[in-house]
Amino acid sequence: MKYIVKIQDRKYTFDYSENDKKISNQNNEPLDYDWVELGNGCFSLILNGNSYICHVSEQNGGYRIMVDGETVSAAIEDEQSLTLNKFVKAHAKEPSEQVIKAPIPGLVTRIFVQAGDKLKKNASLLALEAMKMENLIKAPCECTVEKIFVKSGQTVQQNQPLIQLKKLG
Amino acid sequence: MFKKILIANRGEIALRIIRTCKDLGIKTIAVYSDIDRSSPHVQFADEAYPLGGTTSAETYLDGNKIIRIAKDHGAEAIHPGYGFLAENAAFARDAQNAGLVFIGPSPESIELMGSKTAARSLMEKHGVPTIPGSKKALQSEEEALVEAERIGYPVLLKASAGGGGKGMRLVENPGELPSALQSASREAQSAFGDSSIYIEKYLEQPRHIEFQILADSHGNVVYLGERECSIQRRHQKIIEEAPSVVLDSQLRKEMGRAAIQAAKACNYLNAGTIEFMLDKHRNFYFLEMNTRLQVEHPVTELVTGLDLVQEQIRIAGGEALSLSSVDERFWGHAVECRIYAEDVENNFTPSPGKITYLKPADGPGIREDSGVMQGNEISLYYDPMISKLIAWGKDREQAVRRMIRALKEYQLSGIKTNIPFLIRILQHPAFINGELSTTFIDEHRSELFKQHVTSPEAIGLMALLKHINRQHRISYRSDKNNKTPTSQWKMLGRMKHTR
Repeated sequence: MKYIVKIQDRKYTFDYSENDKKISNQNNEPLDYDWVELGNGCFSLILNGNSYICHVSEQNGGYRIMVDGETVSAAIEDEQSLTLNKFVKAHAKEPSEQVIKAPIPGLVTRIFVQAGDKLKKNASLLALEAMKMENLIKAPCECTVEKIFVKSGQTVQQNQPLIQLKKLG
Repeated sequence: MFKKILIANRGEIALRIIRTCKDLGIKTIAVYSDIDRSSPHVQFADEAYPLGGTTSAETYLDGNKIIRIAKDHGAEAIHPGYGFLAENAAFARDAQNAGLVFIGPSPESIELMGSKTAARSLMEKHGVPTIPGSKKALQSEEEALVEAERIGYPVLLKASAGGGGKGMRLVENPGELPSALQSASREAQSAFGDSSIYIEKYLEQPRHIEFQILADSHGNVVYLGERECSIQRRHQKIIEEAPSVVLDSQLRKEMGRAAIQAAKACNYLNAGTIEFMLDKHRNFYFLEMNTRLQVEHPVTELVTGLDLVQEQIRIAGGEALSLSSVDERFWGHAVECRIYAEDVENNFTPSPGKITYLKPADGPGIREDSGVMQGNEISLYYDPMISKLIAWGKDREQAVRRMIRALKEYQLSGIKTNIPFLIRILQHPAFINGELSTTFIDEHRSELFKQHVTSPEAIGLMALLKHINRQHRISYRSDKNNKTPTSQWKMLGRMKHTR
């Protein structure tokens, strides 16, 4: 099956054979590879004689890979999901409501808005304190505040809903 | 010499102090919060006692609990490390009153230098140059606006009780001042329990250069040369080195003399650091004095061959210093990188989580002062710094090359770290040329935040292998549950019909 791996804004196509586990690249060159897992999330890859130590973790349905001190995000699609996504995209409407979630776990130290407020882009919504640093959460677009799910002084987990916004215009 | 010391800290610094105590044959007591039970400082101390609780306030900041443990278990002295109670004069006094030796300066010196405004007027009185600014804490927004106008923009707002960049804001024009003042005082209140803020002139392209000093109880004060800590982000140091590339022997002597003057002005005892700003025109200004061991003390240790914690313990035990000021006798060059659990690509937000794999770097010229082990959980309750990597070389070039090698070799999974960012700084031509300033990261932002993908095919293949492997595992698990994996095409069909 063909897989498309997206790294930054470039795409790399690989063809993977499930029978013999052989992989070829987009130029139809067979890849000489060998990989072993060294520990949880740490892999050794030898590709055409070149040796790499990689750390791979899953992130937002894609992968985060650390090689040689640099960290890169990669997204993968196979032929099936590519077709599937096209279909879903064609039928989906862009939602006008958006729930702002906590990007990090922390303590809500201050809430600057109230339900019903009209906000400009980058208006401060609330302050989240983590590891002794204050992080301001800002409005991603011009919007009104629909609902506030948290209180000042409350501890929140990562991805916990904070505020529901409705996009204006 | 002491027989038993309690270390009132956690993380890498607690472990670093324990190591020197072991070298000296001194027994150690560790204290720990509930979530630090698995931290290395607990495992490597001779004795360990729980503080009970999780937040800093109920654990490492609770001086009474710590003093009680020290007394109950026969400690003669307390080493506070840095942060937490290290610059808390009341704690130092309580420890003394309980008959314990506080390994650090007197409560009076801590108080004097702890208030930055008081410290500054003391320095002015003793002829140490200071940065123009308000002498006392600001009482109102109006006063702040008037002061800022007098000094001239840009100005810097700073927490009176603070340090480490918390409660600090750069203000470029009057319009920014009110909100910056509010948020700085909020941050100061939560970090130090004191919301007072003062204002000073913001120097352009300044370097942060600090002098390590040691003072014994016999009246001897020496300086051990400088550390350059100009590479900072949000006023937090991230890369430090010794010696500085800009100091010549004359300027080093001049600044060293000012550092000794500053230490004598507050009757200082034990290890301390005088921080200076050095501007483009090689004028230096007293910034503040840190009345404790610094995070970046290892670079001084590597170029002087001293163990500063050992010196601290000997001084606290009443011994006289056996060394003189170090200025021209540096041995090579040392660089330190602070490794933080943070997500560089996501505006440096903290990255808590479990360290699932850890294999630190080593090899020629590399020292690591780490506070974590594989399996440890990085929590949100404490500082995000997990480790310090220090490289030594015969010259700056070798030290920097070794540091880059070590950072690339450093293996850590489970949490995100600033390692990629550190490598990009160290490889930047301006860094290599020694063109440093505290605004380095802002100045070179565009290059420092650009990823260098060197082997995309290998990365792509790695992602693919992990992806295929994961799919297989999922279907394997489904088989075990006697359920056939749901085909995505079937789901698509269902979606179609439910519309």
